[in-house]
Amino acid sequence: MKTDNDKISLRQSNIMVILYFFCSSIITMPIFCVFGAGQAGGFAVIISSVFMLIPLFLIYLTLKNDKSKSFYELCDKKVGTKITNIFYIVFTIKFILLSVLILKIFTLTIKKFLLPQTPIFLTAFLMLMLCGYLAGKGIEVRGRMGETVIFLIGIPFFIVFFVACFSVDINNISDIFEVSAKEIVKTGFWSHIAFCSFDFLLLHFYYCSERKKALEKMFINSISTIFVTAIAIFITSACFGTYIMSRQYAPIPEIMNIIKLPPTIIERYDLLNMFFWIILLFWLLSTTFFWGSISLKDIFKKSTHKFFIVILFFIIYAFSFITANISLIYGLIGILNIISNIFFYIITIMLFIAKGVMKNEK
Amino acid sequence: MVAYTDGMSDREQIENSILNTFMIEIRKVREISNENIFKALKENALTTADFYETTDFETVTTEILSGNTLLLIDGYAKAIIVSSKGWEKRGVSEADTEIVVQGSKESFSECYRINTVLVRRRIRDPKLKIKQMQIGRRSKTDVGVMYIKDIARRDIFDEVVKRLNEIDIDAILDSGYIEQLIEDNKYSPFPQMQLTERPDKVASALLEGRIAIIVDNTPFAIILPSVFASFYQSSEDYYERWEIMSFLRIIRYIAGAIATFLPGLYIAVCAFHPSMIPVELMLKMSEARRLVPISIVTEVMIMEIAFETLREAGIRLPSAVGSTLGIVGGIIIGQAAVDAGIVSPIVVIVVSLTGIASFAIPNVSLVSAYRLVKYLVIALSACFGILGFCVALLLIFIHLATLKSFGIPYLFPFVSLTPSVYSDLKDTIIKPPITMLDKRPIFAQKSQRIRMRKRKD
Repeated sequence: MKTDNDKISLRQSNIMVILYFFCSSIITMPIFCVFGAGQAGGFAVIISSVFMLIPLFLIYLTLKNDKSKSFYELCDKKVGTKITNIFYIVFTIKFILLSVLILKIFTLTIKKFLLPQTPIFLTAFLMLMLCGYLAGKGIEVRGRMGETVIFLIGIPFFIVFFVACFSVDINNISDIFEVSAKEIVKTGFWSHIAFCSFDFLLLHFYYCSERKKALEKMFINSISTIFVTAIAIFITSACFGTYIMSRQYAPIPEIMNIIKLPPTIIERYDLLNMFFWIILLFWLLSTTFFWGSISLKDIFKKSTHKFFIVILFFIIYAFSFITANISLIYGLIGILNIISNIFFYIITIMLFIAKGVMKNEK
Repeated sequence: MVAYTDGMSDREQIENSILNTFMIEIRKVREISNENIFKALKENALTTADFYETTDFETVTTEILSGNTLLLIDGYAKAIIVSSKGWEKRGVSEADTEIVVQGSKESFSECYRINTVLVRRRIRDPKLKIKQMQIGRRSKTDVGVMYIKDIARRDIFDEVVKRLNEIDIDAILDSGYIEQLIEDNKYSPFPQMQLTERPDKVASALLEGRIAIIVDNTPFAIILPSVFASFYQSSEDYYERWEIMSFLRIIRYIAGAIATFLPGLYIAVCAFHPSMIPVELMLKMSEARRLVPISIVTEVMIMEIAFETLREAGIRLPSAVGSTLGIVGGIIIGQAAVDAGIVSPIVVIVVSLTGIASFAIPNVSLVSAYRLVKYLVIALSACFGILGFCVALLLIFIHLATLKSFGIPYLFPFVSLTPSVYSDLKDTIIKPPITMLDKRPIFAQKSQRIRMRKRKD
């Protein structure tokens, strides 16, 4: 009756992929795309989904017929322990830095909008404890939490955007087709590299009980999520206008402040906005936290990742006090993702070549 | 020699089927030797079918202490045990904790045999089995594991038996002992098994492929595995029309949320983010709180503890006085506290609503868990406002996602298993028409999932 806590169902895998792409794209992608492609920011996001097909296809080819127990084992077999460890160290550093930056966004947001009197170290501690608690529970519980969190994020998101459709000013996006195609493609290309990292998918699919099916579903899940983001960007830019939107702190959640829901038992919706924001950042932070500890577990060849959660907790907590403003953090996340995506391409191509060499040797 | 425990044995039966036999009937049997004495008694003398022979001394003492009669015959090296249990017991009465408007009024009693009969009367299937065992080094309590052989999952049944066999304790005085000794997570306030006093609920669970544990000396049977959604189901849901019962199910889920989160949300909003409330309402609330000298958190805590004390006192007192005390205490103390300016009327409303909401949930164990968890929500909301409220909500969800009941995730069918099963989602927040409940849940064997078919003429 006791399971190994190492497998998730197909539904859970799909939801985790959707949540990852949704959470990571909804935070920073809109500002970047609107800044780069103006009113056609939504088109840039759609174009980015086309570029995304390349890394997704690489993941599919790398993992579909693999029989290894983990990605570490696969790399170890194909490219050797030393190179595998280097890649894993890069992954881990990226996960740690990403966790630090997300925690920083979280604490600054809470300080600014919710608890101006409460010290940042307390809110950071609280959030890290919560994320560490979830990360320590293992992949099965993460899968089940994903099935819960998707409703906590999805329901307010869809209600708000449905109501927001009635508040759009079409003049704000009237010049949508006048933006040059070159700008849209360029923005789309950079946004797919800078705001989605694919390395976590390489680790994720080894925990899925139906890996091949999950890999097939990955295309539709990730692309459809990006399309939802594109629609959200169109609606948001039609509500705010691109000028205001590109200077906003978090345009997608802030749309909650301008809508009016029919039964106005609540005077202001900024708290709903914050609820959505807290859950979203919690999920993203717990994801990076979890995969960081899993990477460390693989590097040190330990049976459990719980010890590394404690270590990561202190590292992330200490680093989160580095002073930085929000725009700098967004910039750093972009750079971090570019570097990690370069490593992603290197490792998948190396694995691909190694596979070909082994086939020829046989 | 005849030996039995006075008061635990049926003296009439002893006199008729043992003493009468040995004093009168046995004389009619002509040839009795030491070798065939048991056979001779079986065929000619004892007028009861329920007897056996043994050489084990511990069995002998246990049987005598269980109300059976020991028969020792000079020259015969074995002891004969004759079933003669018979003691004063409470009969079948109405359920106290799971009252329904429509449906059977019967409830379990303290007698193990009556309880098994109450279930068997509802399922006249030879495949309904009872694995009987005795647990407790000193109490030797009778425990029966009831299941329908071709419906219940073998892996779950084996695990139940394994866990029961692993129990090594001096005495089992109530089914609550068994529940705590075999549950998956011992540190969770949430119940991982259902305790019920309704035989129809047990019968329904058995037909779903679940397993019931009947324990002697307790009117509560254990149903397992149990998931979060099953604690919101009442027997009545399946006896009345689906529309109204679906509505009531939704009300129960809302009541569950109110019972857990309302005081915490009230503190978070009023103490940290009053701008969220419409201006007119906020002004009224401020006016009501104007003369209250203590903080919102203290105010809520005072009322919550007063309410819990009243509830506890109401249970301990005789039923007639208890309900009166609850009403009088609630009204008088609440009104007096408001008049004295210790608490605001809005807090009385919040706490009363929380208390009333908890009574809408059909399972007492789940209500107890909510009562406890509510204080975590209050504490975190009091420290961090809406952030603390969100953290408490997520903590509860993480904890619930961690729990399992005999291998089945506690949040099933809201969360998936491997492979994903969607049909079980039908009977959760709403209760569909009975014709749609054509499949058994995941607790049943894979080959037995279909429970209803259209009759072919």
